[in-house]
Amino acid sequence: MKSKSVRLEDIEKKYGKNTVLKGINLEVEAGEFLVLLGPSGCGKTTTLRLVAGVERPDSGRIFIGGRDVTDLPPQRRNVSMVFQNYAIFPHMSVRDNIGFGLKMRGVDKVTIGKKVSEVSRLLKIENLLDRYPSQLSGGQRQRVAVARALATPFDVLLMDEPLSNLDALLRAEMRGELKRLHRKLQHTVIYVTHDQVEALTLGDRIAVMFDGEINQVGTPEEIYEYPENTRVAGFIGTPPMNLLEVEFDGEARVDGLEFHIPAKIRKFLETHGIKRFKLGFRPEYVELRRTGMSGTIVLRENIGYNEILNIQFGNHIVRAVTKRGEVRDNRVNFSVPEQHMRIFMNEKLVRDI
Amino acid sequence: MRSDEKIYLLLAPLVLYILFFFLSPFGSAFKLAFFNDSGKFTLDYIVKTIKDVRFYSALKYTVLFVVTIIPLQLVTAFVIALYITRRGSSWLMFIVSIPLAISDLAAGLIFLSVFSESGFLNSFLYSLGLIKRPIYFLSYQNTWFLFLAVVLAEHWRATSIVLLILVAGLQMIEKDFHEAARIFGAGFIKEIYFVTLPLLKPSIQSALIIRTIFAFQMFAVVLALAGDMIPVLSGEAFFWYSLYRNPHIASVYALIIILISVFFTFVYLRVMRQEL
Amino acid sequence: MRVVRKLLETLFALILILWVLLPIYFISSLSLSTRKEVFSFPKPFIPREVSVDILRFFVEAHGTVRSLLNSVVVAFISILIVLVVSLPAAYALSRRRFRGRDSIMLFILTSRMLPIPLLAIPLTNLYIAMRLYDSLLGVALLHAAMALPFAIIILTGIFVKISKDFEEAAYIFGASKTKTFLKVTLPMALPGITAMLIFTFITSWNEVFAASILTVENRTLSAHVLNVMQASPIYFKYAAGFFLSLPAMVFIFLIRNYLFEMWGGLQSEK
Ligand SMILES: Nc1ncnc2c1ncn2[C@@H]1O[C@H](COP(=O)(O)OP(=O)(O)OP(=O)(O)O)[C@@H](O)[C@H]1O
Ligand SMILES: [Mg+2]
Repeated sequence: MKSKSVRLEDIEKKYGKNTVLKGINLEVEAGEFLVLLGPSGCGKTTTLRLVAGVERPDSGRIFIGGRDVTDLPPQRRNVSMVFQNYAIFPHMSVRDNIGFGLKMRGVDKVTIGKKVSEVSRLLKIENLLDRYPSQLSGGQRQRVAVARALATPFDVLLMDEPLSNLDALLRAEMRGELKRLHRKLQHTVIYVTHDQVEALTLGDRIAVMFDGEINQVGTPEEIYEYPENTRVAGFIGTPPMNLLEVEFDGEARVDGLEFHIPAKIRKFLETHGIKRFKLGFRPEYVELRRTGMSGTIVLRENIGYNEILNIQFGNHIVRAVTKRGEVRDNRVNFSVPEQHMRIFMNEKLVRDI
Repeated sequence: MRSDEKIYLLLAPLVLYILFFFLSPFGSAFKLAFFNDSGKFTLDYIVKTIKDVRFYSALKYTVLFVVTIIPLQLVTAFVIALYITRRGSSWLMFIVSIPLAISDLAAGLIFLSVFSESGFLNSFLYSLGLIKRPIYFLSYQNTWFLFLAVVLAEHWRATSIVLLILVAGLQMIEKDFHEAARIFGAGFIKEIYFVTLPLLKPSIQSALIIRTIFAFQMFAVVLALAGDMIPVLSGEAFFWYSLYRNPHIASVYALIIILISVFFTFVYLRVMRQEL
Repeated sequence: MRVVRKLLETLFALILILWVLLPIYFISSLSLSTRKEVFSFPKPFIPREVSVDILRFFVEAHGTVRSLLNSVVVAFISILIVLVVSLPAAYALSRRRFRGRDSIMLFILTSRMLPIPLLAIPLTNLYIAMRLYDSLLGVALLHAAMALPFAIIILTGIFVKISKDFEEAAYIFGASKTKTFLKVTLPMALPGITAMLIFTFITSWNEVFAASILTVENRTLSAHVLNVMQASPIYFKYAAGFFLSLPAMVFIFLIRNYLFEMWGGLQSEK
């Protein structure tokens, strides 16, 4: 299977008066696994549908493998897709559904049969092949949809939340399968998900979308460590990054309380004459020691092995992740290591301090 | 009273009403067709009906109407339905459904304005210079044209009901299936053959059955356009009752109509199950 | 490529619209002209003058007004019968799954498939015995029977849609069953019921076979036209065609939003 790059240039899409995509620019390299991540309604599905060609952009161009496909109908783009709501044909058996794309390409029956059983083994639906979609559970239907997409030859694979309806165990397993498959075959994938674990484990790169705009594209590490703006910071991670509003007058203060910042940052703020900014740091990096700022734990959220402490600091809540039971006292002192502090000016990350 | 009993009580008037008006005539029709006025069993009426020359042409024309009009309607309605659903054009749907509530009598009279001697078709042909004087389209010498005129009028009037059924069916086939078919490589023709038609099968079936049953009862449109120059089964039943005052033979015709409708319906169901 | 396709599509829509509207335009322009103009040849596409001459002739012709009134009376009696019979039945059919529900539904549906000649001809004897022959009530009874199956399907669909939740909310706030039906269920169902009644009206207005067979004097307009048209001048036929289709067109406009719901309901029953 060859793989091809995908490029979106200044894509705009309106539904009536409502602008759903506001100038999307995105480059997916050949063989890359790109994850589209964003809140519900931000335009992920719409983006996929544009790449697939079932929807036309109002302006902008779409390229697949360097070729402008903006005006090509879907059947000539050689893409494959897992639909968010499956769209497996109710009048065909699972077997025929999976083989549909091959049949449309005039592939002979024997080859189709081989491919169908290969893919269905991968998705653990071999025993369902002779059933009809109405006889399947939601999760089984979803796997048929994935199988159909994988069985069809394609230059680009589009997957719209393909694992959303599976139980946690099966989801983890399928995630592993997809990852392994991608390593082996190196096809170009655009993968939509809400699930951050999925995004972070699967994606070569992640594109984070809000309200029809891509806010940041980067490797999972970049997105996690250096969120481009406060929106991304507040969206990625469970729980997401702490964001404190800080006033600076030689000392950093949060709601009037002093917040310890390292000399390097202090110097940066002074040289640029910055008076207000947002300070971000991940709950996982908060250190709970004898020294540092002091606050009161107002809530403990049990998440299994760990717990999330909600620490009242001024009018803010600072969240910290620790091993459960490690902190007994409700009065705590906390600090944040220098390399994990992020400064946001006008909601944008300040990169070189 | 138990709640189930209450339900049957609510339903009773309906069931009794329908039993009375639909089933009791069914029995009486048999009685009229097979028993004479003094109550004796007889096959005279059947014999008399089949010996009548008009019976054969009525049967021939009725079947001819059914087998030309209905396939034609199905195909056009399908094309229009596809167009309307894909374009999501509801005002077009409204315009096309205007003839829906027009009776076959009125439709016949409306098409009279097209085909009559000084009608619009003649005027149009004349203004194009194709004819020197009006043609008598609707005359007994032009049986094939009479037939065509009735087909057109029926097509104009009753395609909208097929269309309505098919559009409703198409709308139930999710947009997703259409898109999935395209993405997995089906072009227009393949999509229709492998996806649209099989999914639309139940709607096509209902449209076919409903239309066939009503087409076998066709008569006012024929009467309006062709008078008694083209006999049809319902028309004969009508004439035998109201002109010749013979309810027995009229009943024989009525029974033939239901027999032939049921036969066609079964054939459809059979064929549809195997095909597609 | 895209331009050509767009052009072809527009052309298709245009032909479609012309095909539907032209005959209506023709009959209207002829009915709204004069008796003399009807025989003129060739006819201009745009009529030379507009007049009510022909329509007046039609209305003043013997039997028109009477049969028109008959049509209206028959239609309204049918509506009344349909209402009384179908409302409770559809309500029952929509509310609960009970034994025999599906058979009853199937029975109702197939009953409509019986050809009208089969219903009307044997009914004459019965009507004569019951003194219903040549009466408006007799015709209305059969028209109601013809409209009932669709009325049931439409109504059941409407009632199913009005969720039981609303009714339960009403009970909880203290309304009695009758009150709930009158104050909650019925108002919500009213637009659909109206559409159904219009449908019944049209069924009755259009029906011609039974109305002709079951009457001698008391003809509905359709039956009257059918029986006198062979012996009538062509402008009478034009006017009749125009007049008969007028309410049909008005009503289709009124119920346009319900067109699909009716068939949607029918299809989900199958
Ligand atoms: N056919 C349509 N007509 C009008 N608006 C639409 C249509 N499809 C999508 N939208 C709107 O476009 C926006 C983006 O929709 P989209 O389906 O792309 O979101 P999404 O990111 O996939 O959301 P989710 O995660 O919930 O699937 C939404 O606000 C939606 O309401
Ligand atoms: Mg989506």
